[in-house]
Amino acid sequence: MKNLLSVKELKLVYDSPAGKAHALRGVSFNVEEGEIFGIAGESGAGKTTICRLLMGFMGKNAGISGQVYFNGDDILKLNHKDLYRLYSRKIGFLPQSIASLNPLLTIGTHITETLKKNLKVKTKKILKQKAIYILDALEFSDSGQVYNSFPYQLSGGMNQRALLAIAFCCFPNLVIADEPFTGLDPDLRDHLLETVRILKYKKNISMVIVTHDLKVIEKICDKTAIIYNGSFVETGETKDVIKTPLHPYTRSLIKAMPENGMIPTWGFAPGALYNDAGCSFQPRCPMGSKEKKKHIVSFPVSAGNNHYVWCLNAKN
Amino acid sequence: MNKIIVFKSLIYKPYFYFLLFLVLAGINPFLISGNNPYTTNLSGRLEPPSAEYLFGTDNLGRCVFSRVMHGARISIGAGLSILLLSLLFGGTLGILSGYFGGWVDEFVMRITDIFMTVPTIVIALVLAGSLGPGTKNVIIILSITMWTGYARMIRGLVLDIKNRHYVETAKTIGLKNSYIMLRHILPAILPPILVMATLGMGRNIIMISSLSFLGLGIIEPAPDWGAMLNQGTAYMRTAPHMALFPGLFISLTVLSFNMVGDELGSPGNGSQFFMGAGNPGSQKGIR
Amino acid sequence: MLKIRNLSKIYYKGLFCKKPVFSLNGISFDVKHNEIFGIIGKNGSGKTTIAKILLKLIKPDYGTIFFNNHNLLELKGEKLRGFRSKIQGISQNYETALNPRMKIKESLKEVFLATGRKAFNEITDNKLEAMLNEVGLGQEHLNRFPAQLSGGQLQRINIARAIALRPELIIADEPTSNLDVSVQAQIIHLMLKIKKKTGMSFIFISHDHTLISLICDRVAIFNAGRIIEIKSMRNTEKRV
Repeated sequence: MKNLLSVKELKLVYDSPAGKAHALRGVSFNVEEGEIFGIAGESGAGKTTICRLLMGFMGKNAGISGQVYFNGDDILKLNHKDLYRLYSRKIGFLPQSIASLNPLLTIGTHITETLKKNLKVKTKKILKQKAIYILDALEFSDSGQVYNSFPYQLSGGMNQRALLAIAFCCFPNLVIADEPFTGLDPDLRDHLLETVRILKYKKNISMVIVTHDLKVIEKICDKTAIIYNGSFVETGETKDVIKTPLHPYTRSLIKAMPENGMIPTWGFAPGALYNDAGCSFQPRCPMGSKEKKKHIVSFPVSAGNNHYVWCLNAKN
Repeated sequence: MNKIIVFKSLIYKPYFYFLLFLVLAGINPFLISGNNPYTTNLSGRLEPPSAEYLFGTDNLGRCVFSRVMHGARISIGAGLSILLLSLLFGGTLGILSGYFGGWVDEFVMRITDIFMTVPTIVIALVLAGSLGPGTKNVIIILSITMWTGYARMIRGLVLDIKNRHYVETAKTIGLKNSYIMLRHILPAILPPILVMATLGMGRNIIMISSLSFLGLGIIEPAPDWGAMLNQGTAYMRTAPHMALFPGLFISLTVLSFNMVGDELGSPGNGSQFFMGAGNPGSQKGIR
Repeated sequence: MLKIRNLSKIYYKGLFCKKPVFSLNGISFDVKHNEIFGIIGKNGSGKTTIAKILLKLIKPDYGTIFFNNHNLLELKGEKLRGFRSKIQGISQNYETALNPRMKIKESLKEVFLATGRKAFNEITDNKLEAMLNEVGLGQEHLNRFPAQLSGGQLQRINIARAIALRPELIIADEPTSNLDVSVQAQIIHLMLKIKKKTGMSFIFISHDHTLISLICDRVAIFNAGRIIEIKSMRNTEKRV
């Protein structure tokens, strides 16, 4: 299967009053056509940074290095016009916050604006038809009313579904979703996950989903990457990573889920200013903290079937 | 701490130094000009600018330069007093009105409505007519006409802040209303107020000059710029310098204040300012 | 300790023909001492409304609330302020609950103003540090601003502020919804530790069934403003 998105050694470093801050320390991954790739990690680990870099939102910042290849072009090197042409038609963005909706426009206007710009369709009737189609697909009980409603008239959950509608309305090849299901009821979330899965099969849409909710990853992501403090600690097929986690951090995440007893792992992530060459999880690691030597993990260890772990104790 | 960073960008601006110069003139005009602004010299009337009289002399032989410098004290001094009075009065009413809402809000807003229905200049003229001319009266008159604008704007700012989550949390803890207004709401609305204040100075100076120009403001022989402008108009053909310099200074001063306000509102050169978005420590990295 | 009877709150929907919508419709329940009482329900079922009413941010239209045999709805002014310290709240928006311009030190200290200027002036840096230690943070966080801290750390500070005056009841409105699993586990354990140490009761609002069944003693299930059922969780497999 062809690689739709190919990210190589993406880094983001910037200067802050307290020294060099590493928001991302070199991540690489590929997303094939029709595949959903999940990135899971704590808040502040760099997930939102990846989303913004993949969309090219951060401009030509000096601290960005690495390549993001989409359909042969490096997003980081594209000029504004070419980048703009990709938005919504080839790459869709699903933001985290419902504040991304313009409070002065109806949901219908949001969707038809996107459609108009990308599909060169001008007829109001056809635009409305397409908008209602996508709203129906997202399980709204009264799509007509939602079409004419303003964001403040809808509940938070409905606004989040509206964001989904806007991202998917032109059926782009790739959708980048930043915490799309946070704050929704579990039933609604499951419903929407099903919808997304159906959309994926019907229209062959790939997705990169960034989230901290492992249940979302479990339910629809084909491949997963676990990110900690700006770098990946484990990547692989979702069933491998979730059922047989090898990295101690992944294990701590799984243990912390309420279903599994909610066992905490104390301590905090060191943050972007951490400049040591060693494993940033080691101080909190149930295995590594006992060792006196610093783990330097430059290469991942392969555990078969594209399952990689950045840990020296992975074999245990 | 953060205000200092804002002012750093002002150091590069020429108008900042102009204003500093005027403030210096206001504090002690004799530092700048040795001549007495009130001494008449009937034999040397309407002289063009020269080495001794930098801006020439007026129709009574007085040094225009020293009169302009002393006028700075009046314009900026009175302007500042008006600003402080109207800001204090209008600001307090605005904060109370916005924070408490309900009948307090209604009451204050109806009063401001009454004041705002009459045009500023008409109120000023009527009050000037009854109170008479004089610097102190000018300050009183203009403070009365100008407080409503501040009350309205500040009320709007407070309405926005009072619904913030941290204000709600402060109420939940049980903190007093007075504390919440002083410690949470006021610091949040200071940046826009600062901008309003600098723009307000410009307006005040124009109003003072207008009143004096109409003969209703500062009394003779005090060297207010507006009054000097008024006297100079009669001699525009023969001695234009008499009206030119006061007029120039009015324009430059108002322009400078406006530009300072503009700079504070949208700072460049990497200054940080909390116009809502930036917050202390918002550069990430320190955990 | 807390007796709620027949609580109702009505909102009016629509521009011209105002239709009444019951966000709360005849809610009645009790909360005992040293209990974790859960409230679960979909978004819009009235969970946040009841939290706001208990924190006295909005007023109900019908019903009564008795807290330690005092009528909560009739307290005003000074008496109300005295009671506020007994019921405190933690919400899911950990970042906006703190004034972004105030250092953590000042945010922590201002809580004590509610008990009077004298108590406020007597708070030392050591006491503030002890407060932070109680929630698992250290002295280095005292001089930071909220924007410099992570979500988990901010929520801990909110918890520290809430327990500072030793309330009897804490209303936790989805405190961990915006936090990731590992931080959620830490925060929940912290709350349980506090409950054990001080005997406070919690009203824990969430939409996560598994979480609620793990930590709550009893649960009220909300739907469209009514309580469908109040279940006891004592017989389910859990760990305190």
